[in-house]
Amino acid sequence: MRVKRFKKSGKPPEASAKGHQNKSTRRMRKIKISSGAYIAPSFLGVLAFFILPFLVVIYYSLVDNPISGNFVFLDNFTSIMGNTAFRRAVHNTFMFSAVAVPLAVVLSLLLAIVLEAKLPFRSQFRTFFLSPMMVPVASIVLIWQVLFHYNGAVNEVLVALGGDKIDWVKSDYGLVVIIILFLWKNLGYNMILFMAALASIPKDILEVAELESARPLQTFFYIKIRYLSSTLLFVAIMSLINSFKIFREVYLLTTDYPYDSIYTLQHFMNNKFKSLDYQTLSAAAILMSLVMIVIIGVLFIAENRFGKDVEG
Amino acid sequence: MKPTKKRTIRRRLLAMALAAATAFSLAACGNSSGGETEKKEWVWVPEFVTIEDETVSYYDMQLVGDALCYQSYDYDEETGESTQSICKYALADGSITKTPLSYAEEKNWNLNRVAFAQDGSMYGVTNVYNEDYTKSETFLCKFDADGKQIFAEDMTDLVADSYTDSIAIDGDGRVYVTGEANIWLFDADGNKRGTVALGSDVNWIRSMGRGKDGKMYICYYGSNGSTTLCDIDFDGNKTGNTYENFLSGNNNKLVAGIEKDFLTQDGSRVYEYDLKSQTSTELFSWLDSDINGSNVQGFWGLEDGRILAVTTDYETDENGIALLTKTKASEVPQKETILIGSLYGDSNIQSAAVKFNKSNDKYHISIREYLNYNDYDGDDYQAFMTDGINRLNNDITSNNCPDILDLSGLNIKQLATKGVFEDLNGYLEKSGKLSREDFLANVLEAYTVDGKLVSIPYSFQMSTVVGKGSEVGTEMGWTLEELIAYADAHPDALLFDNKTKDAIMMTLMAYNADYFIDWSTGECRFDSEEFKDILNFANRFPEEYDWEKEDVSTPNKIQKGQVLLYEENIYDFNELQMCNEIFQGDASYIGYPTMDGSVGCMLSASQAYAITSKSGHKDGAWEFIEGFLTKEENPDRGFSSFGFPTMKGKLNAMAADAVEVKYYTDENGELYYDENGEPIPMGGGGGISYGDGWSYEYRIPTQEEVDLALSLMEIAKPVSYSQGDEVLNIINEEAAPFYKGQKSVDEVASVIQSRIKIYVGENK
Repeated sequence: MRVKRFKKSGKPPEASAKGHQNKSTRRMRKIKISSGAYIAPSFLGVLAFFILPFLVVIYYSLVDNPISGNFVFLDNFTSIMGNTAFRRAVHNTFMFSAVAVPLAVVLSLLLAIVLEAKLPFRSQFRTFFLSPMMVPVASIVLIWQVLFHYNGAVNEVLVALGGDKIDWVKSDYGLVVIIILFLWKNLGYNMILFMAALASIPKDILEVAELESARPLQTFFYIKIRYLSSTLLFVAIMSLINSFKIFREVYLLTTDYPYDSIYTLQHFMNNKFKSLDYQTLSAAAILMSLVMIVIIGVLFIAENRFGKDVEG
Repeated sequence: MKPTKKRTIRRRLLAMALAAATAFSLAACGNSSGGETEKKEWVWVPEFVTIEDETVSYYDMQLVGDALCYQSYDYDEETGESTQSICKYALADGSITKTPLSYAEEKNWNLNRVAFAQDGSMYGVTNVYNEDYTKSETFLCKFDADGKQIFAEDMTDLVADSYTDSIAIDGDGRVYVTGEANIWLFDADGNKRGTVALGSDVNWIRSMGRGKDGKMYICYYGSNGSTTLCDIDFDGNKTGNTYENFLSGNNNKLVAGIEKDFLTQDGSRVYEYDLKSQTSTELFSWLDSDINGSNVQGFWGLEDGRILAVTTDYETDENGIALLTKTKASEVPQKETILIGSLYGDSNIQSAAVKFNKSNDKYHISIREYLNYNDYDGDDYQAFMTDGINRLNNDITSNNCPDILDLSGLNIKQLATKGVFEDLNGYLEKSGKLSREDFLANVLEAYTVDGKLVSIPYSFQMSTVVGKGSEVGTEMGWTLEELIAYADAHPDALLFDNKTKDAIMMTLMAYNADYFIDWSTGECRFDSEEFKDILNFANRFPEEYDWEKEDVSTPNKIQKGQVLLYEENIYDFNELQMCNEIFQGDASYIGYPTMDGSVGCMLSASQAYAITSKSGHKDGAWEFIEGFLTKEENPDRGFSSFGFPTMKGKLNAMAADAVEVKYYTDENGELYYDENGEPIPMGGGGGISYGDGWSYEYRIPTQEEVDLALSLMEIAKPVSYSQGDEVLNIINEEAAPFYKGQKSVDEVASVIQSRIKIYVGENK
C-alpha cells in the first residue's frame, strides 16, 4: 500500500482541506471586517445626513408639534389633505410637472435630433441652448422680470401691437411663464444627454434598417427609441427633479405667497418651515415622496419593458 | 516584496488615512455654539464699592493712576456761592480729597469737558458767557494740582459754531479736543499746534482715548454708516492708520486694554480689541458679573489686571464702582443658569436680571440676544431681523431653547399655537404674591391664546384717534363708512397729517383685516366692494411725505382746520390734556374706525416674558417673572417703565399720584411761598414745543382726564393683525400699482384676494 507523504506538515489530505477551509473562513471574515471599517465613515455620513433626517421627518409627521411631541398618528396627514392651500399647491405642482416634464423631454429630443443632422452653425446653436444653464438664479429672475413684469418688454410689445397689458406673473398666465422659464433653463442639458445617446446607437443597425427600406419614422420608433430608453428615463427623472427646483426662481419673483396659479408645494412647505409648522411640513414631504416613488417606479417599469431587448 | 503586494499595502494605508480624516471631520460637527450655557473657564467676580460723597459725579469720572478723578459742585447756602472742585477718590483706601478750583479772572466760567493729567492737574474746555447769555467764548484752561488756573487759551475762533465733544491727554501731555468732525491739537502749555479736519466722509467723532501704546485714537462714524478706529498723528496734524471691525456698539469712551490694545463694551459684553489682528475677543458678559451693562458710565483696566467699572442706576439710585477680578470659574460657587432669549436685550431686562442674580442663591439669569448690532452693517434691516428670528426659531425647536422668552418682536400667536409657551394660569393660582385679579383683564386677555395665558406684560400703552367733538360726535366708536363720509364732507382738509397711502391703509386695517377673512372656512372678501372702497380711499393720500417741507405743526394745522383728526399715543396721564388743548376743549376720543362701529382704541403691551414649555427650570423662571412683576417702584421716580403698569395696584397709585398737587420744597422739606404767601405748586412736568412756535406746558391732569384714560384702558384691545403683518404686506405690495395708476382697483383687489386666500388657507 502506498502512503502519500506530505512534505511540510505530514498531515493527511482531509486534515489539510479542513485547515484550508478554516483559513479561508478566517480570511473572509477579516476581509469583511476591514471592508466594513473602510465603508464605516461613508455609511455614518449617509446615516447622519440622509437616513436619520428622513426618520426625523417621519417622527415630526406623527406628532402634534415639534415642541411638545405628542403622538397623533395620522392626524397631520388627514389635516393637510383637507387644507385648501395644500390641495391648491398639489394641483399646481401636478399641472406644472405634467406639462413641463413631457415638454422638456420631447422638445429636447427633437432639438437633439435636429442638431444631430449636419446643419451649419451646429455648435453655435448648441452653445446657445446650453448657456441658460450657466446663468445664476438671481440673473434669471432679473431677466424674467424685465420681460414679464407688468411694465416689462413683453407688455410693451403687446401694447405696441394694440393689445392690453397682462400681469403675467399675477394671473392665470403665471403657469405659462413658469413653464417657459423651466424649458428655457433645462432644454440645453437634456438636449446634450440625448445627443450623446443618439451618437452611441450602433451605426450598423441603422444601416441595416436603411437597407431593409425602413422609413425614418420606423427607424426612429423601432430602433432609436429603444436604444434611447434608458436616457429617456434618466432625462424624465432629472426633469421631474428639476421641475421642483423651479421654486427658487418663482420664490424670488413672487416671495412667500404668490398668485394662486403658481403656488406650489414648495411654497407650502417653505412657509410651513418658517412658521415652525414642522409636523405639517413633514407630512406634506412624505406624501410628496410617496408620489415620487410611484412615478419613478412607473418610469422604471416602462424603461424595463421597452428597453430590455437592447440592453446588454 | 512583490510589486502588487506593495501596491496593495500602499492602497490600504491611503484608505485608512482617508477614513481617519473623515472620522475626525465628523467628530468636529458636534460643536455647539450656545453662548451662555457653555461652561466658562474664567469669570469676573465683582466687588461693589459705594463712594461716600453726595456731590460725586459718576458721569465724568476718569481713572488717573490709582485714583478716580471727577468734578464736584458744592453750593454754600449762606454765601449763595457755588464752588467747583477737583476730587480724587483713592482706590486703595477710599479716601477723597477735594481741591477747589480758583480762576485767575472773575468771569462767568462754565466748565464743559475735562481731562485729568497724571500729575493731578486738569485741563478743561470752558465757556464764558456774557450777562444775558447771548454770547459765549470758548477757552482751553488748565488747573494745577492745587486747583489754580494756570492758563486760559482762547479757542473761540477755532471752535466757531461747532460743539466740543471731548478732551483727552496723551502720554506726552499733549491735549486733543474734538468737536463734530474736527480735532484741535494743543501742547501741554495750551499752545495751538494744529487742526485735523476729518472731512465730509465723517459724520461725527464718537469717542477719543489713549490706547495701550499711549497713542491717541478716535472712533468715528462715517457717512456710509461704518465705524472706524484710527490713530492721530499729532506732529503731522492728520489721522494715521485706520483699523476695521471696531465695535460700533462701544460707549463714548476709548479705553486702553489689559492684554490687548483696547477694552470695549456694547452694553452687554466686554471685549478686548487687538490692533494687529483687528478683531475683538469677548472677555465676559456684564450680567455674569451682576452688572447692568446699560448703566456702566465708564470702565478701565487696572494695572493689577482687574477691571474697574463705574455704574449708576437711575431707578434705585444705587451708584458706585465695581472692581472685577478675573477668577477661575471652578473657584466660584455655581448656580443653575436660567436663560432668557431676547431679540433686542434692552436695559429693562438687564436690570431685572441683575436684581434677580444678586438676590437669588440658586439661580443665575443669563441673556442670549439674537440681534447683535455689532454685526449689523446698516443695510437691509429686514434681512437682519429675519436672521435673528430664524436663529431663535432654530433654538426653540432644538435642544437649545431658552427658559424664558422676551416676547417683543415675536409672533406670539404663531409660537403659542405650536405649544412653545407654558400656561401661566397654574402659576398664578399657586402664587402667594400674585393673582389674576391683580391685573387688567383685557391685558391678560390679549396674551391668552386658546385658553392659555402665555405671558403677563409689565406695562402697556394705548393709541387712539381724536377728533373735534362737534363734528365727529362725542360717542366713542365709528365705522369706516362714517370716516370716509367725514372726509368727503371736508374736501379741503386732510384727514390726518403726515399720513401716506401705506400708513392710512395700516390705520384702516388696524381692526378690520379680520372682517374680510373667515379664518374658520378660509374664505376672504378682498374682492368685495367694501374693500375696493378702502383702496380708493387710501389712494387719496400722498405716496410719500416730505418731512423737509414741514413748516406748520400738526396742532397748528388742526386748530386752523387744515387737518381733521389726530392720532394720539397715550403712555401717561398727561397726554390727554394735550389733545384737549389741540382741539381747544372739544376733543372727542372717537378711536380707529371699525367695520361694526365698535371702539378702536389700540393696546400694545411691553416687557412681556413667557416661560417656554421646554424649560428645565420652570420654577426658577416663574420666580424671576413673579419678582419682576412685583418689583417695588422708586416713589421719587414714579413708574420706571414706559407706559402704564398692568398691575391694578400700581396703576391706581400712578393715577392717584398724577392728580396729586405737589409743591416746591427746599432740601429740608419746607415749602417755598410766592409773593402772595401761597405755596408754589409744581407743574405736571415738561411740555412740548414745535418749530412754528406752538407749544404746551403740562399741568397737573384733572381727575376727569385721568378717569377718561382709565376708561380707555378698559376698552383698549390689540390690533387684529392676528397673524403678524403678512396680510398688510400683501395689501400694500399689490396696491402699489393701483396707487401709481397702472392697474385698476378691480385687478388689484383680485390679486390681493388670491394671495391672501392662499395665506389664510395655509394658516387657518
